[in-house]
Amino acid sequence: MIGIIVVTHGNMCVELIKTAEMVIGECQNIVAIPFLCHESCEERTLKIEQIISQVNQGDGVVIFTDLMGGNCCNISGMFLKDEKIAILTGVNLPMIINLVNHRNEGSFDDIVANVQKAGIKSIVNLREKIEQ
Amino acid sequence: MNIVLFRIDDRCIHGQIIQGWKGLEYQHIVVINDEIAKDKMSKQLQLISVPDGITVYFYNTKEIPDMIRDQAQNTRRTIILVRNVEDALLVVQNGVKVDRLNLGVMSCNSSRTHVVNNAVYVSPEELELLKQIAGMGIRVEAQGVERDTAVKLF
Repeated sequence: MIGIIVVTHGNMCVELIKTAEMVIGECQNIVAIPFLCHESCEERTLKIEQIISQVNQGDGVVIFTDLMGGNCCNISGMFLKDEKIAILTGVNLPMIINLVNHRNEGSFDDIVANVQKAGIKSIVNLREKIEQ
Repeated sequence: MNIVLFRIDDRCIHGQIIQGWKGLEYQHIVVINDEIAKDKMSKQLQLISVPDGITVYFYNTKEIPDMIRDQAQNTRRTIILVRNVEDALLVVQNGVKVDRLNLGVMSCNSSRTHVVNNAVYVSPEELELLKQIAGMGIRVEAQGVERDTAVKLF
């Protein structure tokens, strides 16, 4: 089972997972890592390293981060040397739901690509959508 | 050199720099740090959020005199970023002229006993170095982003 980590500035990641569980029920092998103001880059790196080994069951790990180029993204980025780790920035709820629901369907790279698509597709201007 | 911000930030280029200091209308970032300067991956990660049109240069601390020479004629509005107080001191000791040192992010650790705000913690040794910097006529203040109120240390 693909491991899932959600890394954000503050507690958004904790709440995102809770919200996902409200929608689709209990999610397994998913861990939130909130980055708090006072933590050093070293502490944050260590935390991510520990959680990767915790959720990695050999099928790959997807790390969601909030802001592209933010510290969550930059620190997670140091783990990209492992081919079975993917990082998707700009996390939203549909991405998490998509991954939890489809994490066993297809190759790691295809699953990641589909999650990215699901995230982008979920952003619509409702008025434009309705008037189409 | 046209320096609009001289900042200590553990995280160097990150969201606060890109989103939080836009009002400075900076066009150029100089990062001075030994670890980042020698690591390609670190440099690439530093660059991903930087908008088009903003140039970034990386130097290690030994190259500060080269940086001063390279950048002397550069009129672009520039942010200089270092990751610690020691490197900030090196920059000004090498003759870079600034009137303000911004403490952006200095994360908590066991030796940093002095709390300035929720992102800036300073050890007694660092406080002495900051005093030394202040003694060169430089205002030392903590401020995460433009919208925050600056807390003056010296």
